[in-house]
Amino acid sequence: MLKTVSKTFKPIVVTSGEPAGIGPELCLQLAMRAWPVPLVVLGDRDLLASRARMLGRDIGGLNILHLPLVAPAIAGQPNVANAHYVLQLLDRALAGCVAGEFSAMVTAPVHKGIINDAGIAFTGHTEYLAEHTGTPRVVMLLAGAGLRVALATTHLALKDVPTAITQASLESTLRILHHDLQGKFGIVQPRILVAGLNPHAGEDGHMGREEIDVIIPVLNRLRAEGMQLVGPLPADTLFTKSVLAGSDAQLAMYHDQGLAVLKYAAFDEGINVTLGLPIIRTSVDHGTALDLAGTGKASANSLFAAVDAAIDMTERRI
Amino acid sequence: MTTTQQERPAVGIVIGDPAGIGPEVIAKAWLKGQLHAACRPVLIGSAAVMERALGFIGKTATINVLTNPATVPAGIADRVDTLDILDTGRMNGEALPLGEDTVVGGRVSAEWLDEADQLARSGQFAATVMGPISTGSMKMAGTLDKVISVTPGESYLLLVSGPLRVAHLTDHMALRDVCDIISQDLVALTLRKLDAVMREWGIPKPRIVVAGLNPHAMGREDSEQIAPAIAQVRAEGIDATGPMSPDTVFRQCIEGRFDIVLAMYHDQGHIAIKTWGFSGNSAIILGPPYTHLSVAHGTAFDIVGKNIADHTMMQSAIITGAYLAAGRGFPSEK
Repeated sequence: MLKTVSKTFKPIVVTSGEPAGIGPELCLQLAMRAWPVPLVVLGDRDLLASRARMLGRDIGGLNILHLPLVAPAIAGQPNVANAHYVLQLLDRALAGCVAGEFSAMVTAPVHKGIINDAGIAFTGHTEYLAEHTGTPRVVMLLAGAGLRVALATTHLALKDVPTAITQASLESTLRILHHDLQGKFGIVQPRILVAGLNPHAGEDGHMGREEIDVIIPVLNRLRAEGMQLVGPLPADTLFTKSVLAGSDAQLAMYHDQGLAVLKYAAFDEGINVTLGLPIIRTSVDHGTALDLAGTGKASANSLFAAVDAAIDMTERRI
Repeated sequence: MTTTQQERPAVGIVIGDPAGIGPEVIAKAWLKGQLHAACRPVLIGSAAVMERALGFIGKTATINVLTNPATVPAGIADRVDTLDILDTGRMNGEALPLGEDTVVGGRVSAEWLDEADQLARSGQFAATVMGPISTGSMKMAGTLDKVISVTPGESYLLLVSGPLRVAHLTDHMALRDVCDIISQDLVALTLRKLDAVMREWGIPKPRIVVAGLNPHAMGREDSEQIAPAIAQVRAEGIDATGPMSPDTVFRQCIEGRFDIVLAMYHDQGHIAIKTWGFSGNSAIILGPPYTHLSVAHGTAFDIVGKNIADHTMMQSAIITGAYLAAGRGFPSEK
């Protein structure tokens, strides 16, 4: 179903990601659907054309913004020589978003290992975009199957999680989440569920003190400003239907607290949104799947969902 | 199908807090008539409380009261229409509490649990099933320490929810302390216990998958403690796999590629179990020398006596206990 969108809608740019991965062929599938806004696929035109030929397709329906590869890309075999190309895709998309040429960017997966092998420090899209927009703090939000799960900590060893969650970091995370739920998702008065860190959310300090020492004081302070925050809630029942009812987002304290549920519920339709950036950025929630590259078997559901979310957020942006 | 005594083990069912829904869901489960095909059930509790529960659910049944533990299980009627109950008079002279925490409720819950434990240890029960207790009542009575608890390395909580079965390496422990306790020895010891108990339950070569501790199972403990423990027990012939990424490991079990997941900490396993909420939940404590289960719901004081409490979790816990104690494996979900 086509949505009506204002005529001033700038295109959404989709970075095709690691050239040896599934990103380029997922982008080809974007041509299969009629989108309510123009999409621009950023990548090497010849790469997209050759991947299309492998799969018996063509690139006729795609609007491609060409950036040349450094070295030829073979499906399934990432090449350090192309690490700079992968980052140039991000730089170009970001510059276009900042300049108002694009309304949002959607990213296909990159291969962190190969970028690091090229001698470039890179921990992920989220951190890269934060650094290149001068954003001191961003929040990772994963969405799908009606859930919007934000993370207080991301790819951190579990041992380091309790120490990493301070009153200052948690307050900042909640402010970004609240602000972007209003500004990018158009939710006027968002209701956010906040998980505890410990079993039974600490049960009054019997199973850990972080709830009492860190989480509860922050929630009280922000509630006094009018935020609707529920918690700290025991994490094991937070994601059950009756507790989720009426909530707009859920804040998990660590990666697996939030992602185990999402990965199961949303399966291949989950997406990743970076909150706190001055631009709109959504992403697939899967990797480069090198073993599937060139086979045409990879599902584009997550990419489609990421584009849908970028469109929604652009429409609702305040 | 004929069933032998061996296949129908005596199972002790503690009725739980007398003020909660335990008695009525147990009465319902009993009179549905499916328990006796799997076991010879015996209640431990108060006959007066069960009489009242029958009234709540609008049923009549004979109550066969045994007052002497030595007559269990020989003295039971072993019939669907007769509730067999061991009542040693712990509630005599007490008003029956209803829908609230009470000292008497906390006291008798602990005393009944203790009676069931002694009978199981002396071999009169092959399994015990604990009806819902109230930690509030037990705190008031000072008996909370009587509940069989979990100590890493000695005892483990295993949750069952349909096809998903999750054993926990640690239970009620602050997350900060979990990482320090995880060692190759503890994981290997746990895997051996899990493998042995699953074999006793009738799963000949249990397929165990171990969840990692860190995101994507790519942290220090995963590679330095958990992975070597798995390699160690594999060399001993145990079918253990992992460590697997904690955000995808549970799906592997649900889809039938493994018989059980070993989770590293409370919320890792509990989130999976409670979120996917398959029917037939029960909790098993590994540690006592007999099969000990508890029902996965609470006392639900707000709906006591209204004949709306669902008996299926209780029924499933009893039948699961009976199957495992008889070495018949987990009952397949209908």
